Amino acid sequence: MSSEEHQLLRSSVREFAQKNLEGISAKIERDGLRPETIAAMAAQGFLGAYVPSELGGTGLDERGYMIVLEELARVSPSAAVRVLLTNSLYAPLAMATEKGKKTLEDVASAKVNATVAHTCLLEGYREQTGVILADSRVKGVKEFVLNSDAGLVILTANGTPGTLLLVRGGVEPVNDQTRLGFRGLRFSSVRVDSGDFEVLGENGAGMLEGALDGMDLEVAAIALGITAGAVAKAIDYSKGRTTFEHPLKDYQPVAFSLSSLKSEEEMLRTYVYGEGLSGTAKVMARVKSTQLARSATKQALQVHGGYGYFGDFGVEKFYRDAMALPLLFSRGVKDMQRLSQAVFESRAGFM
Amino acid sequence: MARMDFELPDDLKEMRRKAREFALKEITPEFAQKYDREESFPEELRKKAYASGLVDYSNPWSVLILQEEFCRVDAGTGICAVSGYFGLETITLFGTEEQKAKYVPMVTTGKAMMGLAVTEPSAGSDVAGIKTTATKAGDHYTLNGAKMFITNGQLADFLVTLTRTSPQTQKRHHGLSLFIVETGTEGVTRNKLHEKLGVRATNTAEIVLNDVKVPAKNLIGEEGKGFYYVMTFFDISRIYTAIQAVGIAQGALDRVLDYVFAQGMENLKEETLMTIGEMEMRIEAARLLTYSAASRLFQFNPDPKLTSSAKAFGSETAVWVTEKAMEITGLQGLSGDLERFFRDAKIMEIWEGTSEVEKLTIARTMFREMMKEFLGEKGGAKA
Repeated sequence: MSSEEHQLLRSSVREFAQKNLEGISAKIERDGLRPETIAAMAAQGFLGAYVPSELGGTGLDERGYMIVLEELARVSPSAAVRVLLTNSLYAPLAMATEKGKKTLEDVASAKVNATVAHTCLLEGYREQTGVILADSRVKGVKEFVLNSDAGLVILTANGTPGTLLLVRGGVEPVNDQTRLGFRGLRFSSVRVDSGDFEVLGENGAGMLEGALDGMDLEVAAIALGITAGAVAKAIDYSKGRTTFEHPLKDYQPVAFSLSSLKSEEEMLRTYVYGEGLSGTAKVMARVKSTQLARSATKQALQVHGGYGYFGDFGVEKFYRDAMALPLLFSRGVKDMQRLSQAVFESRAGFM
Repeated sequence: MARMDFELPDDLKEMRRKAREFALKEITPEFAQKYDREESFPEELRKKAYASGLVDYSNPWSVLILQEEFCRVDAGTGICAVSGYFGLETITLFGTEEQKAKYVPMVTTGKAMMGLAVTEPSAGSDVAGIKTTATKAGDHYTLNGAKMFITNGQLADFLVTLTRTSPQTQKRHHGLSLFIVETGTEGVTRNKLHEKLGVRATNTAEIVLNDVKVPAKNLIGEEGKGFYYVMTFFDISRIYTAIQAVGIAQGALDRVLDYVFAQGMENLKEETLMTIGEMEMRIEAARLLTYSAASRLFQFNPDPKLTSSAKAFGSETAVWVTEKAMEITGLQGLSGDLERFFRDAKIMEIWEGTSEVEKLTIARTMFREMMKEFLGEKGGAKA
């Protein structure tokens, strides 16, 4: 895609988000993403944004896909994560087999909801029961599954690293979990009892790890969207809100902090969308963007004062999601080790 | 020889033990989670806390320790249990004997609840910018306006309400007055505000006052001095906010230690160890700062510098510690108790004076003191 095409894509996704998500963004936090919203996103080609067109996807290039994620996250990070799950986790893993590939068309068109139980890779995961594959049947409970009301679920069975399976049907969300962020998506355990599945590979954890580490730039794009959404709200608010008879923006602590965050946002955006980033540069982009999202959302909330603490103003969700994003899609210590390994050109930061 | 003693006396240590025991027994993780989810007020917990004798308004140190220990277990329901008389010092310090006799016992015994209505939709930090008016007519005042983010607002039997009694002049903080407004009075409308980020068990409301007739005898202190009364109150309430924040931070650290311990200490790396060390360091500093500010206040010699420092540092500590706690515990924190601590902590930097206001207060108090000293020296030279 040319840069004009990327620009065009950006404005059309922004328009879509304004029209279809902005008005209901608080409702999404409350009640979850509704089927009609998912359908509208599918109709735009977002659900299969990064899936090759010959497999029923939209076939955007990486930059185009990142633009979709960023622009959705700017309004509703939950919507962006829904797109991330299908394109960056489900699709690459499902593509391991021909049968898996055939599911992508339905996933891209939202005929069926798909997800990946990837959280076993993360800090704090403790498997209570696990899923067992025996006698041609998959059975058990998988915990901490995001977007868990899915008909197609990719998960590991038989311990670690386990066998990676694509399970179709016989999957039921149970025990909804409290969750900090991405409240537009269901987060629960899933109970599995199915004879309809496909083996995607034998090194399950390794395959999941590959997919998770492979989405550095996508996570960075969502973090940038969260940053942009929160900072824009704070800038707007500080233009309109008056205190001690002056607009907030007239005060140095407000103006300087927001201007500084805006600079970091712009610089990171230039970097993240840069040409031919190395593997190391991508980890750097992930680490710095998720950090920025956290500091930016915190300051954006603070600028809103009491109003920022309430759902109505749409800024507290950015604060929650900015913390949830790295916890759910980054591996804090492992990412820093990847980065250190690259910086020191040898194993580093393991003690 | 005079000495500094940083130990709590034995009776307060015992009180702390009891408070913790009560909180752990009554505020289970399931209990805290339920009220957080439903955004409902734990009235039965509040009653139990009063019945237990732990809520002892006459002993401010005991109230301080109680708040610390309750927030350490859960800030949302914990604050509800002990904040039924929020705003009372405006009456005990500046009210008439009649007002004290009528309003104090009903809230200190827990029979009734009250709140303080200062903030408005368009005036938060800028207290003197409030627009609610009170107009005198014979033996009563008529109140009109709207109040925002009022804690206990929907449940309070009366609200100490800041109003403007004479038009704004150059001196913006003049002309403001405090009234006791009984919430059953005609013209008082209360709307509960929903979807707070944290402390969701606490009741927060918007109050609309439409031609509300308040007897003149409900004026607190002198007409026109409301701003000073409220600022004096904030020097008290900020101490309690500071300790709530310390409690939250301590509760988060408790959970991190449990988590790390369960993971097996042999897996601990330096990054986590150092973070835990820093958590402890900051929390203890925040606690001592708060106790020090409290000690001044409870001897009727408050130091606004110290109070504001405790409030800002305590709340920033709570936010920092809960953030780090989330990083260390990952999924466990995200889906367990800790995520609530993280959400609860943020309000501490906002209510009872934002961190920005606190820092300005610290600096301005310093300059006021410098100026006093300077003028004093000059005066001395003349004499």
